[in-house]
Amino acid sequence: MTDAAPVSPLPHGYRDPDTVMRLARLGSAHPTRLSFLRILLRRVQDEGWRFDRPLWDVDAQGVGRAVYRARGPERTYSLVAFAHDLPDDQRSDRVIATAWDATFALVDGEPTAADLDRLAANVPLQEAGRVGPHELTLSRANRSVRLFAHVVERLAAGQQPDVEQIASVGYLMRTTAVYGSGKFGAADYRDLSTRAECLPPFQPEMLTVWLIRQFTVDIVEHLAQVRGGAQAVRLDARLKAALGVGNSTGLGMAPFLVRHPVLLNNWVMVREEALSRVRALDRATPAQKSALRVTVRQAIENAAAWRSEHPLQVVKLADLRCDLSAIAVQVEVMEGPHPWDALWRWGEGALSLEGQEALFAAMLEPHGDLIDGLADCLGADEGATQRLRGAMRLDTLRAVLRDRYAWALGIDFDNPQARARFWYVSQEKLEPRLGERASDEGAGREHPLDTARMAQALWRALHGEPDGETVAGFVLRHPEHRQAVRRAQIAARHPYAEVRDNLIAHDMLPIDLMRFKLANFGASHFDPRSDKWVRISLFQNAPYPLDLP
Amino acid sequence: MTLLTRPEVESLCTKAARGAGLPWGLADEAGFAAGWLQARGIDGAGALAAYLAGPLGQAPQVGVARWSGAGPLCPIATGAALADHRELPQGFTGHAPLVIDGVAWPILLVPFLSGDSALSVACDAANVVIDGDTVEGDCTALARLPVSSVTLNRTASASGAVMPRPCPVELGDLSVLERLAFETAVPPSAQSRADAGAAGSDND
Repeated sequence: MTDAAPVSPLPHGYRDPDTVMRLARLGSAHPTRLSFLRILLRRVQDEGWRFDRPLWDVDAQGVGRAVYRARGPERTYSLVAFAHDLPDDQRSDRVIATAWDATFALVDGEPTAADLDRLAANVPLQEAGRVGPHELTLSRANRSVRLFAHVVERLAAGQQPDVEQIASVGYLMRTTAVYGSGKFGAADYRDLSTRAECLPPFQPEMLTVWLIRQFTVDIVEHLAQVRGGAQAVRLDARLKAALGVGNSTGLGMAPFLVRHPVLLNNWVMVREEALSRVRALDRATPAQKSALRVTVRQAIENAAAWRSEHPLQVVKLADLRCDLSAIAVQVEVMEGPHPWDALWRWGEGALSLEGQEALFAAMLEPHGDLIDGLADCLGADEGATQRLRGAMRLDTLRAVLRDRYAWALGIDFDNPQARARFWYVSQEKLEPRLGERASDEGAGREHPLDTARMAQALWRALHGEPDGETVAGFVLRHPEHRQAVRRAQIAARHPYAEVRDNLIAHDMLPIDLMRFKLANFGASHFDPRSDKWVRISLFQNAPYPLDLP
Repeated sequence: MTLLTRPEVESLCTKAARGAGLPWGLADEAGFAAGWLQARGIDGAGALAAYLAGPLGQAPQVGVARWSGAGPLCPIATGAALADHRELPQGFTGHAPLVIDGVAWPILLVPFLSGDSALSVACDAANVVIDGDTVEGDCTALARLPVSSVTLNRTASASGAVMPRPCPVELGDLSVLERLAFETAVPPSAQSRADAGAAGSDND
C-alpha cells in the first residue's frame, strides 16, 4: 500500500463494513461450520484423535479428581478435573465467587502424580492460585442445581430424566470462566503458534469445554450409581446428546473484540470470504440442496427449543422463528443461475437481522469442501501491528479516517446520550464494567473502549496540522492520540477491525458484543439475563469424546 | 520473586504506566517493552517500576543525529519515537550514529530498536548489541542504570544469543506496579455490583 492508496480496497464480493460491523447485526450472529468448536470437532475426527479417562477418583459425595486424555497425532493434552461439594449459598457465577462445583485445568501432555498434587493445591482456588507453563487453561463450572439433581435422582431410580426438563435447561453444568493464554501462570499461546491444532483461535479453550461436557455426564452417572446401586441406569444416548455445557458470562468478555482489532477483522473477513465463495457458485447440486434443507430443519428445531425470558431476546426469537419458516419455503424454490446469490439477496430484503444471520449460517453448511480451509485464516498476530507506521503523512491519515471512520465522525458527542456510559475496570477482581457517566463515580478512570469518540478527537486534533507532517512527529507532540492513530492504521489495512457503533452510547447493548464472540465460539441458545449478562450452551448435539470410535 | 507470564507482565505494566499518568497509547508501549525484556531474561518490569515510581521524564526534542531534552527523557516516549522515526531522517536509520541525551532507565529503549539489522547501544557504563529479536552484552548492568546518554550505531551481527529463561519480577517492584495499576481501577458501588451479574439467582 502506498500513500496514494490510504486504505486497502475491499476484496470483490465482500460486504461493506458499514453493513457488517453494526452492533445490531453482530448481536444477531449464529454459530456456523467455521465456529471454533466445529473446527475442533472436525480436527479430532479427521485426525483420529483418541480419548480416554485414565483417572476417576471420585467419592460417594461426588468429591475427588479425574483426568481425561486427548491423544492427537503429535501431542497429548489432558483435562484435570476437581469435583467439589459446594453449599448452595456459595454458588455464584460471578467472577467474585471463590468456590465452585468443579474446577479444571488443561495440561499440555500428561500430568504426573506430582503435577496432580500441585494442581490440586491451586486449581480449586482459581484466580487465587497459580498454574504453570505446562497448563493451557484454567476453568470452573457450577451445576444447574435443578437439572443436576433431577437427573441424578431419576437415573438412581432406574428411570430416564424428563425430556422437557432437559430441554428447558440444556446443560448439567455451566462454566463461569475459561482462562487461556498466559493467565494466572498458564502458557503464553504465542509459544504454541507452530502447533497446527492451536492455529485457529481458542482451540485449547474449546477442547477444555468439550472434555468438561464429558465430565458433567460422568459425574451424574457416578452419583446415580452410588445412590441407586444395581437399580441405577446410564443416561439415554439421545438425552445425553441434547446436553451441552452451559456458559454464563458478563461484561468481562465484551472488551475483548475491541482490544483485538486484527483478530476481529480476520473473523469477519473469513465469514465474508466464505459467503462470497458460496454466492459465486453457479448452481446448487441436489446434494447441496438436500443438505441445506436438513440444516434449515435443524435450525427450526433449534429455534423451537431455544428458551429465553428476556424481553429483547423474546422479540428476536419470534423474528427468527418466523424468518426460518420463510427460509424453508424459499429453499424449495431455489433455481436459476447463481441460486445461492439469489437466495442471499432475497434474504437481505425479506428477513430480520436474526433471520439473515441464520440464513448466513445455513448457507455455509453444505459447502465444507469450499470453505473449511479458511479455519487457518481466523487467527491473528496482534503483535505484528504493535508498531506505528511513523512515516505516514497526515494527509494520508486524514484519508484513512474519512474512509474508515465516517460512521464515527458524525456522532454528536456534545449530546449527553452519546457519551452516557463509560467502560472501566472494577477494583474488585479487576473485572470490566460499564458505568453511567452522569451518576457513577470513576469516569476519570475510563478505559479506551470509546473508539468512536477517540477517532473523532483525533480527527479534530489533525485540524490545522500540515499535510506533509508525519505521524511520527504528530504523536510525539500528541501522545494522547497515539492509540487512536494505531487503531486507524490497523483499520486502514483491516476493513473489519472496528465495530462501527458508538460503544458509550446510552442505548448500546453489551450483550451484542458478547453474542458475536460467543457465536464465533460456536455457542447456541443465547439467553440474556440482563443487557450485560448472558447464558449460552456449547457443544449441544455434538458427540462426546469418550464415545468416539 | 514472582515468575509472571509475558501476558501478565504486559498487562500489569500497561496498567501501571497508565496509573502513573502515561496516555493509554504510551502505556501500551510500556507493557510491550517490559514484556519483551522479561521474556529475554532482563528485568524490564523492575526498570519500569523504578521509572514510574519517580518523576516522569519528557518527550525528546527530535533532531538529525541528536535527540535532546531539558531534563531526563521518558524512555517509553523516546523508545516509541525511535520506532516511529525509523524510516525518517531524524530517526536512527543506520547511516550515522544517533546520540540521545540523558534517558531515564535506558534499558527500556531496547525493545523499540529490535527487529532490525544489528545495532549497538552504548551508555555510560554498559553496551549492548541488538540484532533482530535478540539482545546481548551488558544487559544486567544496563537494566540497573537510572539515567544515561545513549549512542546508537550500526554494528556487525551479534554472535547469536540463546533465548534465556524469563526473568522473575522482584516483590518490591511487583507491589509498585500493582499499586500503580490499581489507580486505573474504580472502587465498587452497589449499582456496579448489581450490574455485574445476572438479574436473578444462579441457584437454578
